[in-house]
Amino acid sequence: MHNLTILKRLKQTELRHRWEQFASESWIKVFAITALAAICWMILYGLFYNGFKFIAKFPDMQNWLLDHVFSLFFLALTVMLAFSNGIICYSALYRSSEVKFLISQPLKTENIFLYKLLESLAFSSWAFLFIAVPLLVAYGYTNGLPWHFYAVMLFYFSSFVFIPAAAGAIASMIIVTFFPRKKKQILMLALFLLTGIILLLLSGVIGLRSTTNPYSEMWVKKVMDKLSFSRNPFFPSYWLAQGMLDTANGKAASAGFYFLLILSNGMFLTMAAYFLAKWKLLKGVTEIIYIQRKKIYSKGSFFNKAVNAATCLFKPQMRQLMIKDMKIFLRDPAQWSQFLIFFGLLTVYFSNLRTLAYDIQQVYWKNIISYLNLCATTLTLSTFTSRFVYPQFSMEGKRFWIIGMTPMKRTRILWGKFAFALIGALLVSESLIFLSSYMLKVQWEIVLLHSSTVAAICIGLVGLSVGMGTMYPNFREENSSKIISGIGGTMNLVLSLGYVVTVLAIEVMPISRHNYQKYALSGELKLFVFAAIGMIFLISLIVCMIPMIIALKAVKKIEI
Amino acid sequence: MSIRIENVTKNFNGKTAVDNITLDIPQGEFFAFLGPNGAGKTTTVKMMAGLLRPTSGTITVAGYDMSKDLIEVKSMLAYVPDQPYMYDKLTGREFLNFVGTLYNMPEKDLSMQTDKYMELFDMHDYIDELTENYSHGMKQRLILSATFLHRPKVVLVDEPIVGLDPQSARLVKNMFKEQAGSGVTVFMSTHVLSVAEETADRIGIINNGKIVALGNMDELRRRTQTDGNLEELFFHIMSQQNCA
Repeated sequence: MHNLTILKRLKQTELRHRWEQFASESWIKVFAITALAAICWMILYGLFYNGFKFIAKFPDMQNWLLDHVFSLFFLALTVMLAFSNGIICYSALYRSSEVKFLISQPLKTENIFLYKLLESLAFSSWAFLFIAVPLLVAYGYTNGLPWHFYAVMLFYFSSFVFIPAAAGAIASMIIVTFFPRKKKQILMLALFLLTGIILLLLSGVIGLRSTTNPYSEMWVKKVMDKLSFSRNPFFPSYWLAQGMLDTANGKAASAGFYFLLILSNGMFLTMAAYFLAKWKLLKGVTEIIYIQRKKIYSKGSFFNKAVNAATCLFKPQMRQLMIKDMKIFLRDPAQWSQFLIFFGLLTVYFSNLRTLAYDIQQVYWKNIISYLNLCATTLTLSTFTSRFVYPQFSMEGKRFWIIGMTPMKRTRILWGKFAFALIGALLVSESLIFLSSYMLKVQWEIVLLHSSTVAAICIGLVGLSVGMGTMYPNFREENSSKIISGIGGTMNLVLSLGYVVTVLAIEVMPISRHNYQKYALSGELKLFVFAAIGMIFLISLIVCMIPMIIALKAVKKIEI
Repeated sequence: MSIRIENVTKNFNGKTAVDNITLDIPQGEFFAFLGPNGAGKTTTVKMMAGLLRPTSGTITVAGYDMSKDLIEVKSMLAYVPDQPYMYDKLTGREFLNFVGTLYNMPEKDLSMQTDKYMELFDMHDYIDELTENYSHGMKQRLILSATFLHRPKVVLVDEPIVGLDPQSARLVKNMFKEQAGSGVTVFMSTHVLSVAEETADRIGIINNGKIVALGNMDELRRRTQTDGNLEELFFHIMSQQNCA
C-alpha cells in the first residue's frame, strides 16, 4: 500500500474518533461553540457588508478603491498565513513525537512531510476561510453577483492556500536545517522587521494629516497611494485580488489567467517543499533532538531581582507560587505569543487613534469610541482569562504532589494564582484603557468610569476563572487547550462573556447620560458615574467571590 | 518519627483499593512495601503523604493525626512519586529554590543544602537548564535532592530506582540506608525485590488491598518455610494467595 494511503487512513481514523468524541460532548459545549462562531461570522459579515455599501457610494472611485483594499487585505492575510503555517509546520515536523515515530517506520520522509503539510494547511486555513467567506458573501451580495462567482472563488481560495502554506513550510525547514541554533533570533528578526514596516507605513499615513483633511477624497487617495505596494504584480495576494475582481466583472480570460497563475505557483512551491523535505527533513529532525541545550541562569539575573522586588509585599510561599507561574508563562511561547497578538493588536490600534483623527471628533463620538475600546479590551480579557487563567489549576495536575506535599494551606495555592492573574490582567487592561483615554482626550469622568470598570472586571473575571478552574479540574490532560474545551471551560467562557456584557450594559447608562446632557459635568452625571461604578463593583465581587468560596472549599478535598 | 496506620480502608467508586490495613513503623526503620500491580501500594503511600484521604481509619505520624494536623505532618514528611512530573519551564535550581521556600527554609540554609545535593548527585552540568530537557534519571536525582532538602523525618518513596543508572541507584540505596541509620523513617514501595532485600529492615507485602505478609527476612522465611531469597519468598506467598 502507498505511504500516503496509509497516512490518510491514519488521519481518517483519528478524525472519526475525534468526531465521535465531539458528538458525545455536552450539548452546551456544542451549542456554545456553534453560537460563538455564528456570532463572530455575522459580525464580520456585517462589517464587510457595510464597508462595501459605503464604497459603493462613490461610483467613480469604487473599482480603484476595491482593487487597493482587496490587494491589501489579501496581502495581510497571506503574511499571517505564511507565518502561522511556518510555526505550525515547525511544531508539527520537528517538535511532535508523532513525526519521530513515523520516521522510525518504513515510510518515506517526503510523504510524512506531505501528510503533515496537509494537516497544517487545514489547521491554519480555517481561519482564512472564516474571514474570507463573509468577505466574499458580503461582496457578492452588495454587487448582486451570480452563484457561480462563489463556486469559482472556492477554487481560487483552495488553490491559493497552498502558496503561504508551502512558503511557511520551506522557511521553517530552511531555518531548522541551516540555522538550527538561531531559530528564535530569526523569528524575532522577522517580527521586528514586520513591525518596523507597519510602523513606517503608519507614520506615512499620520504625516498626511498635516497636509490633507482626514477622510476627504484626497486623503483616501493619498492613503491608498502610500499602501499601493500591495498591488505589486509579483505578489500572490495581488493575483487573488485581481482574479476575484475579474471574476466579478465577468472578465473570464483574465480571471482564468490569474487562477492558473495561483494554481501553478501553489503546485510549484508545494513540489519545492516536497523535495526539500526529501533531502533535509531527517537532518533537521535529528539536529533538533541533539542540539545543545540552552542554559538559563537562575541566580542573580536582572529578571529575578526585578520579579522578587515586584512581589516583595507577598509572603515567601505566595511569592514563590507567583514567581513560578510567571516564569512558566514567560518561558512558554505558546502562551505569551497569543497574549502578545491579542493585546499587541489592541495597543497598535489604540496608539493610532489620533492617526485616525478620532481625538478631534465631537465629544459624542469620542465617548462612543472610548466605550467601544473598553468593550474590545474587556471582551479580549474575558477570552484571555478563559484561555489561560482557567486551566492554571488543572495544569498543576500531575505536579500537584509538589505543592500538595508542602506544609502550606492549599487555599494559598488558589490565592497565589488569583494574585498573579489579577496583577497581570490589571497591568495590561488598565494600561490599554489609559492609552485609549489619553489618545482620545476624553473627560476625566469617563476615564474614571472606564478604569474602575476595567478594575472591577479584572477582579470578576480572574475570580471566576480561578474558581471555575478549581471546581472543574482536569488533572489527566497536559494540554491547556484541551482543558478549556471541557464542560467547565465552556461554562466559564459563556459565564465570562455574559458577565462582561452585563457590566458593559450598566456602563452604557452614564455614557448615554453624558452624551444626552451635552457633556455638562453636572452633579447628576457624577451621581450616575458613581452609582454605575458601585453597581459594577458589587456585581464583580459577587461574580468573583461565589466561585472562589466554592473553590477554596473544593481544593481542600481534592485527591490526586 | 514513627508511623501508625490503623484500620485504613480506601474505596474508589465502590471499589476497595486498600482494605482495612494496620501497620506500625517505628522511627528509623527502613520499611519496604511490595506487591503486584494494582495491589494498593501507591494508594497507601499517597494516603500517608496526605494526597489521598482514607475512606476510614487513621494515619498518625509522630503522634500527629493526618486528618487533623496535616500541616504539621507535612513539615516532617517527604514524598518521592513513581513518575517525577515537574515544572518543565523551571530550571533544576529554580525548582529546588521553589520547593525549599514552600517548606519555609531560610535562604542561607536553602542555598547550602542546594549546593550539597548538587555535589552529591553531580548535577552541576544541568542544574541551570530547564527540566524539560532532563532525562528520567536526571529528574529522579533532582526529585531526590528536593526530597532531602528540608531534612525530613519521614520519607515516603514510590519506585525510587526505576530509570536510574547503576551508579545513581547505588547512591540512592546508600542514601536511604544512611538516612534510616540517622533516625529517619523510610517507607519504600518497590517492585525491585533485590533492592528491598538488600536495604529494608522489614518488609510488608500487599495483595488485593490487604497486607498478606509482614516481617524481616528471617520472619518471612519462617512463615513460608522456605530458605530462598526475597524473590522466592514473594512468589511463594503470592502463589499461596492465589490458591486461597
